[in-house]
Amino acid sequence: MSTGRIRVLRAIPGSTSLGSILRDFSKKPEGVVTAFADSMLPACRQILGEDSPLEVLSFAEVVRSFLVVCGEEALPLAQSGHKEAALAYSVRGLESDSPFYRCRDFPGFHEALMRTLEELHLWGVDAAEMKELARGAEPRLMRKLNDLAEIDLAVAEVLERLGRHQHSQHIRGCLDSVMEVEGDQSRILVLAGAEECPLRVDWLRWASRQGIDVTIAFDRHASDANIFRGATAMIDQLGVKPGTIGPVNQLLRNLFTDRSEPDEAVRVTKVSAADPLAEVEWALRGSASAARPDRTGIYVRDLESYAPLIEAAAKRLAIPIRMTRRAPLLTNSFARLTLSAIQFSASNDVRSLATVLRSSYLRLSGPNQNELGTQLRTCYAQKQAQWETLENWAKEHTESHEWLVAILDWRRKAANSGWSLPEWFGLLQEFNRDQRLPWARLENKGGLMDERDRRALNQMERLLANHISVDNVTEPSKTSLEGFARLCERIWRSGDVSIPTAEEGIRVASDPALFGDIERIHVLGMLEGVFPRRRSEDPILTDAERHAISALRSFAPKLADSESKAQKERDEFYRVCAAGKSEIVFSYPLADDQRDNIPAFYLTEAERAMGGESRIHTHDYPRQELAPLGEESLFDADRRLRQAIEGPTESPLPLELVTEAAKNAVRPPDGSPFMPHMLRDALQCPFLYLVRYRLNLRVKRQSERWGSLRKLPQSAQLLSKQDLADAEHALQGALESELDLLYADVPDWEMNLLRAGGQRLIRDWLRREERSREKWTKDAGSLKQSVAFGGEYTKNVMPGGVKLEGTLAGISRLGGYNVAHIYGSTNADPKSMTDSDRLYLGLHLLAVHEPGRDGAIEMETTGSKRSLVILGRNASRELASSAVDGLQVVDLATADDLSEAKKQFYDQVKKSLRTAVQTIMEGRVEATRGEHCAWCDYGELCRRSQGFGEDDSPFALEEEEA
Amino acid sequence: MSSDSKTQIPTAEQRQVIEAPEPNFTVIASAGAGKTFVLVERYLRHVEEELLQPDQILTITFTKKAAAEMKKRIVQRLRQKGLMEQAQIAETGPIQTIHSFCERLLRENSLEAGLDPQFEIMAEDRSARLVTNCVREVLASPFDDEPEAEALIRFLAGKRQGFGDNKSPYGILESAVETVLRELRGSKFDYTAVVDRFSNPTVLRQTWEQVMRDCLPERARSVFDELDVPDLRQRAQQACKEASVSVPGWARGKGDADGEYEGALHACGLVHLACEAWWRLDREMDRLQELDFSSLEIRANRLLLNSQVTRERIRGQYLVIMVDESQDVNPIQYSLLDNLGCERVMMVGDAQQSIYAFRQADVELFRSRAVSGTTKRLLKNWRSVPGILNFVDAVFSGLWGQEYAPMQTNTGPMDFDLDDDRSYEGVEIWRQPAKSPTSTAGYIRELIDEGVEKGDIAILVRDGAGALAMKKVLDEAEIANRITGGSERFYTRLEVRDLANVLRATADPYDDFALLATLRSPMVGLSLDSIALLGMESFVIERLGDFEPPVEGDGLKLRSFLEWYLPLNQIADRLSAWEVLAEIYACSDYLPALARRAKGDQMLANARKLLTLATEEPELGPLEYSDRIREIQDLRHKEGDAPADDNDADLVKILTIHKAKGLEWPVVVLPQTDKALTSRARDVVVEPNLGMVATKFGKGQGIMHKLLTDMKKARNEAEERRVLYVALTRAQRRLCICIVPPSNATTASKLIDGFVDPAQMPGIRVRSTYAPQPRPV
Repeated sequence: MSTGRIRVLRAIPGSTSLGSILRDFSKKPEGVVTAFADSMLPACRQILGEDSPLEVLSFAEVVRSFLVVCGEEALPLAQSGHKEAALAYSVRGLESDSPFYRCRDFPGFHEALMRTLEELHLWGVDAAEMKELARGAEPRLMRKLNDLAEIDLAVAEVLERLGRHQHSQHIRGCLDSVMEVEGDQSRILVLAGAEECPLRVDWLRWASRQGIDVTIAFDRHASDANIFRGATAMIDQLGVKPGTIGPVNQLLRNLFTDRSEPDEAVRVTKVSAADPLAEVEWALRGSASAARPDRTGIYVRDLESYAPLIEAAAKRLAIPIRMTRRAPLLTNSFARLTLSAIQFSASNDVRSLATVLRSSYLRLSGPNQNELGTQLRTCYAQKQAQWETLENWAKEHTESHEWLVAILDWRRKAANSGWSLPEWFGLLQEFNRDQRLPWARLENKGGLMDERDRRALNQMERLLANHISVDNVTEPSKTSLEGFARLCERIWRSGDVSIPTAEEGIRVASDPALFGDIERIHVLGMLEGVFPRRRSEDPILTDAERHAISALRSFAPKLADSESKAQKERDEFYRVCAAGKSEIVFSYPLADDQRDNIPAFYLTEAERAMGGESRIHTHDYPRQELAPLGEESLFDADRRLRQAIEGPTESPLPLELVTEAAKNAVRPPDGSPFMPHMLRDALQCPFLYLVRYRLNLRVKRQSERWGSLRKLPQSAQLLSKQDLADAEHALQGALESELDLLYADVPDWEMNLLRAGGQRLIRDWLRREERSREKWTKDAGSLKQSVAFGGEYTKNVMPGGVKLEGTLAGISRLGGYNVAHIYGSTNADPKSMTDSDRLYLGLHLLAVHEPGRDGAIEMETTGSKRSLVILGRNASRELASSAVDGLQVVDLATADDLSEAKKQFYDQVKKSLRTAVQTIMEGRVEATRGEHCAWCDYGELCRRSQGFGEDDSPFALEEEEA
Repeated sequence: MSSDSKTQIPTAEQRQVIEAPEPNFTVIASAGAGKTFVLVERYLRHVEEELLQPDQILTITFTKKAAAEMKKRIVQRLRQKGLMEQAQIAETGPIQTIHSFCERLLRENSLEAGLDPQFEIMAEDRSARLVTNCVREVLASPFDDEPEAEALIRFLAGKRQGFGDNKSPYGILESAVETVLRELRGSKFDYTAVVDRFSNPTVLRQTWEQVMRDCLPERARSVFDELDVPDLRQRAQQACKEASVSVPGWARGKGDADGEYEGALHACGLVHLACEAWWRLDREMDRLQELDFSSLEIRANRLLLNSQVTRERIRGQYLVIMVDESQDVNPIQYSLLDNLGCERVMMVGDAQQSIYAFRQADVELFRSRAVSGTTKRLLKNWRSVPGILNFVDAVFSGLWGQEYAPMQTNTGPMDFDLDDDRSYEGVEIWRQPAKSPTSTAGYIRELIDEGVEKGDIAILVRDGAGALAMKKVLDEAEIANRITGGSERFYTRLEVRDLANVLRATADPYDDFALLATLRSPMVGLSLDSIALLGMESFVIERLGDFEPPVEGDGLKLRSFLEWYLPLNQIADRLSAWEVLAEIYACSDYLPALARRAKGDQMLANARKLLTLATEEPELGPLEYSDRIREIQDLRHKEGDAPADDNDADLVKILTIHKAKGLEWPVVVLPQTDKALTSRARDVVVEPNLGMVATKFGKGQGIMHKLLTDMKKARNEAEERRVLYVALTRAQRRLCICIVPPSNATTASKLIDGFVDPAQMPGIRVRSTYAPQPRPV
């Protein structure tokens, strides 16, 4: 066996150096190109071209292939999902006094632990050494190292049983072996960057000992600044003197030094924009307008937060981009729908299907959705037989609801008995591929949406498979459908999925290596705290513990601490600066949605390196410059926006109906009857009347749901109940029916609150009903329930011939009064009563008035009072309020002379009635501003709500308050 | 003060702070005294002369912006001094806000804290929603075992007139419970202590007795102890009478033992509900591994108290702590800083500028530290012209007496900056009728006509309503202006509501209201006639295809809407909310349509802001995000409008005094001086320093409610005076104060007017639109 050569290069990062290293290496036709960072590989392939005889492989692949050549066992590498699942399993066995015990269930802890173990491995510390080190450590560190060793061993064992290895195992396997060199494995080029990993360096030395010619390229600074310390440490470890390579420009020469010497020119621009969205838009415009858009790139440090903005801006400006981003798995509706279907199957409430009905995959029409919703409620009412009823119904409607049959079939099978997790996996696959489910029919479709779903499907299955495979080799068990649904939710909720991207366009990435050979790089988000990031210590092994471990290992390379990690921020910035060959644009947003920002200190450093502020270009885009001026606009969206900004101001739309066609349509037929509350609302706000009663629009909002409780006493026929138990039973039933209708639109907590609120209201209603019967005892036998206007004791024709319609909850006689029983929300306090309140009450009083008998209204509300509204005290009976019982008598008469008072009141009612009817019949719909705007739900339609209208100042309300 | 520290030479009083030999001391720094400069220079001294590394100096600031600014200056100064290694360490080092420090502490010590190292920090709106949900869950629970809570619910549920207007019957309870929860969580009392003292009315009464006793004149206390009178008010009165001291205001009036019992019952019930919500909140945050800012502080403090390992680690980590704005530190933060156990602590602050009591800041903590330990002073104000300083000194020497530290004092044998003639040049008094922003606008117009740049003027208002009133009159006077941070009603803006509807309409085309609202909005802009005709039948979506609009132009609008809407609603529920918004902005004419409206710039800015906000919640689909917007509207979360122009634009800025803290402008205008400094009594009063809660839901006011309300009023008034001080010290060259005719209430106007005498104040300028009453002799 001959000894190979180790050649070390230090190169300024960037595509120019990379090109020359690769060209140099390509001089001989055989060999392998690899890199410590996988992100380097695409650029290598691009530069070498498809015809190159050189092979480009990941470092892990190279090591594994060498191990195979050595004749050793080299199992496939474990994926991170395997490792996470194995780790989650391994920490379950921690003892309660372990320093890791309290965090053992947290995914973030698993991730941190996995990172630390991998780091220890790459530093050459395996489980045996951890135990060895523990013996010399202080008690807490000793405990940590012992636990880490145990976890490490447990993970390795699980992975072994899964038929998987870890990368460090392969390296160690090589180091313990001897290899017969043959063919193209006799030369390798390793792009080592500057990430220190002593075990890999050991491997490189081993490889050279096996006769391989090893060329290693490390990153370097163009002059003497003390960055890329990891590279220096590795070169020291190799003990080889490096050669240097790479082009220099003024920025790269001077950055992080105390000099600003001139060198090759590079254009550096500093750009500020108002906010992150504007920053992204200007970056895209700049990149797309460059001479060679294909040779530009956008670098963003914090891709996760910027990616949606970049995608949104690129879409609006129609600029193609290539950007790989990840999103939480359950943001994909295919995944959500699958989970919902499983949860529905596992639930004991068929109504939970409601969450699925609106899905666009099903394409159910509105009437169909309603029909199914009703059916689900009907089935639910069957309690024990709910599933069977639904199955029967679905079978009868197979043609239109084949998907439902499929879900129910699967449920029947799945709920049959406990299955092992691998069996569940099979069932899930069966479910996901059932062609009766519209969302499962992915195979024959194209497009990005389907690609998204396909990836989501793969990821759902992969995540589950990782977990199941670990479970299978550790503690296989049977699980119920409920347990499986919970497992799916837990695993999928913490998973993410990559979103497909276009194949052409400006490259956006958070790793400068991914850009390849580009001329111009735009660096987004140059903010304090972002670049450089703040320093922080590893939660698993503190800096002090790392120093202690390094001390115990004496001559071995020292473990990285938070300071050395913080130093790498400069390395990264340097790489970014080196990525753009001829132009670098740094940008930052002046403010985000929380506060004003401070530009990154590195910008000042770049300015200094270039010889001062005057040597770099700056551009500040004003906030109001939302699109380039005039001729500069290359993009249609910009041109349209610019024209709109510079064009004349448009007035808001008219707030009245202008055509006879519309007026006729909204006008009820002549002689139509009205319910009292319609007239009340029409008087209060014609627009409210239009939307509520002519368009029948209801808004699914919380206030509306609370309001729906108001009708419970009437629907429970409270008046007719002879005893409290009966009444309570009826009210509870009415409440449940009401809640049942709301099920699909209401979250659990609100349902609980509505139920609790309803029950408390029921208690109050019952108490007041009882007290009212005692205090305001009605004439025996006079109570009639559900009396339509025009029925017994009532009139339905009002002054002016206006007809009333509707049904009173009841009517009774109390001394000389005819009493209308109603459940409503009208204000009965004469001090703050409005004309509309008076109209509403007056219409009821008129309806029950008959010669010799005054009208009265007994009105129950959802407030804390029941009111008996009268117009002047009738001498025939003494009526008393009782605050303790929540009963109050309200006399609307405001003048001492009773007949005068009645006249005044009814004159006002007649006038209001006339106005209301006239408004309706003339098709007038312009909204009236007022207190009702605070609760009216239709402001977005009327567009002149007191709080936020657009016809004049949206601040009207506050101005009045002020 | 110049930020160019390189060229600045410290004054004598600055030097005595920078070079202070004491390890542990407090610096009282008046407004504009250059404390950032001093902090930076002392930091440098630690590094340069004591050879500390920047990561051994923990620097705490009040805001992220201040932290970033401080770090920038420190790094620059270190580099100027050639300390390159140290500069590099400082770049990523511990110069941060207290919350950021707590976060780092908990992440790095997550094993000890029992937290996921990747726990999330909750945004304020999310935290508010979680609190509300916990409170609502509590209110939905049965309280059969807790009669006080059940009694309160039964007493209050449905009380609010608002339920008649379709609101929840729990409105009044929800806000009461949230108030108690918020105030007590920020106090020094932990959950158990609160639960214990409110366990039942009898126990609570004992605590009340103790609190009342401590508030009585000293001579009456022992008498109070000995009296056996069931009614607390009578007992207090009798104790005072027997001790021959006057009865304090809070103890006057007629006794009502039953009312007191009811008050105690309600207070217990309310605190039970709040504690139950507190417990649920903690549990929910644990489950989610998400912490709000309060929780961050509490957890970090608890970690330091309970974990010796962490304490030792921290003591090894930080050798010096520097705290800026320490007058605004709350009791938990104070305890946390103490528990860090560092021996070298410099706290810089100014009790006169403590204006964050509503965030539980407790100025007394700073005061007592200043009194008990070594204290240094930075009094000389470098921000304002001498005339303004003379004026502010005159007003506050009068208001605060000996406690006030004048900013215009001669600290050495000779100070050439001192204006011995006491000119008041730079101060303007604008006399005007009460509540007249129009007059203020008139005076501002005069300023501009005199040559003052609009961009140099800041109007400092007390609250959002004042800002809106000023904006309106400036708009009318055609003076370009902007409310900094907006009106904080972002989520109720029509354009935001429109977008909520369009999100819903794309994901659920059968939601008729959402679809009609979309059609009515500038997104489509159909006439009301078309809307009415379309709305006559359900479902609107099914009528759109063959609908023939009665108004010309609607047909075209509808067709171009359907072009993008129909394909989008086929897939909208498969996209995140932000993706749907992005599609809409890309495919529809919405943004140009907004731009064509009056105030289009603001609408555009808000529409763009909503997209940005939506990208921060990628897990929400269009329906969920639409619901979220509604929910936030209901919670009345304060979210500022998106700024529609630049900071340096030539506009008059309108902002609240709180937002102005730490900033300065050439010209400052102070309107809205007619507001009473004390607030009205509320149904629920919480005194976090005492851990006490009292209620007044019934008719009479219990003695405890009266006592706590009086305490609160006194604290509020003291705080308002400090707010006034902050406002008056923001001006560099000209300070313009609106003065209105005096009223019965104590107002800023009344306070200032009491010290204004143009005859005795040379250089002061008075503008007047009415003749003031002659000053009483």
